[in-house]
Amino acid sequence: MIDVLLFVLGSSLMVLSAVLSLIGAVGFLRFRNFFLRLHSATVGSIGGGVYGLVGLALLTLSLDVPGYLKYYIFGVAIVSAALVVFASPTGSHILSRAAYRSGEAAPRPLIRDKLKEAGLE
Amino acid sequence: MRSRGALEELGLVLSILLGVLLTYYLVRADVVSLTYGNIPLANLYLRAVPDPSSPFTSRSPEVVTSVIWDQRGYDTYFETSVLFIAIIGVLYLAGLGGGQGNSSVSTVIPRVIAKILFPVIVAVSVSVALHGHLTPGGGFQGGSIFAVAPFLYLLVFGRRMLEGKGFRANALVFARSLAVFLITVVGSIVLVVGLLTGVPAFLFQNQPKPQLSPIGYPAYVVLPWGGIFLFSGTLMILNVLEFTAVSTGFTLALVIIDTVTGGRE
Repeated sequence: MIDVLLFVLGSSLMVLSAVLSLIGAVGFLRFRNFFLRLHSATVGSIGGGVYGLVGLALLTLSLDVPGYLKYYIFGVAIVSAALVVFASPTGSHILSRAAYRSGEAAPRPLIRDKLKEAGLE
Repeated sequence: MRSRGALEELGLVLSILLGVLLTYYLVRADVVSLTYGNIPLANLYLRAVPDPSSPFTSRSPEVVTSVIWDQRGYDTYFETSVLFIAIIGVLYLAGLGGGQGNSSVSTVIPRVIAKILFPVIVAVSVSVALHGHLTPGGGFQGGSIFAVAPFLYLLVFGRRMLEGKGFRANALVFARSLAVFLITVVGSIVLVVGLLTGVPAFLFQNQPKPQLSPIGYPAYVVLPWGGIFLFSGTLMILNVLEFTAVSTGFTLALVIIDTVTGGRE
């Protein structure tokens, strides 16, 4: 019973990650300025990478394989997912901060600049 | 500007020409083959290195590390020395004297994440280096991965904090010199023993070679509880030493670059 549940959960997470990867890729190509594109790239890395890795881990746990190999793959997938969760948002944060502060990538259709209003930067 | 572009093109053409010539002669001499499945040199290494009965064995399942440290040990040793001498020379030129401890401009997010990721990177690099004789990887690869961790600290916290962590230039130069010196000692110890006992031996020899040299390093030790700890003679020792040398060397290089360019303001 728990095997079937894990299998269904893992498969749906992997399908979701595939869809989010596609959305991220299309957004990365079609959005207008740097910040919107960065947002869509993060959708690709968190939604497409982390969901897929967690889904892979659950899927592997549900398989009927003898030995320790499935726990090995489970551990590798979970650790990789954790690393991406830590590193990817930090990277996009640093990128967007550097782009905003240097003024290299101006947000072109700018409706309201809350950072400037708050006087933070 | 014009002449520099022409020079670059000339260099490109020359290197491509050299590659084509080299490939042609190696194929002519039947050392490499362009068709898949008939590659004599690769077949020789893949068969001889893990096979304990072959005279060219390294007693290691990982052929790449064996070739790097055993079959072409001279080349790797000179690579390590060249990197060592280059970094020492740059240290002389750059002069790691003062250097302002610049105030870091990063926010709290990269600070926390760098602190979390630092031990992870170090663990991965040490594992890659220690498993170098069993799985893909080795000292150079592990050392290169290790250098990412201090570089992360350098980018996020600045040089002052890195030195507070113990990554001082003097300590790094000392560790690097010690590692290169010990690589020399490990490579020449079989030759010295052979000279003292009147037995033929080679520089950078790993395993005993039947009919050529009867002495060499042991390939494994039997642990007290019955297990076997395979370290493949010099391979694991040299991997650990190379890990020390490369990690400290790359950390030094990154610190020098940060100092010469005056921080990141």
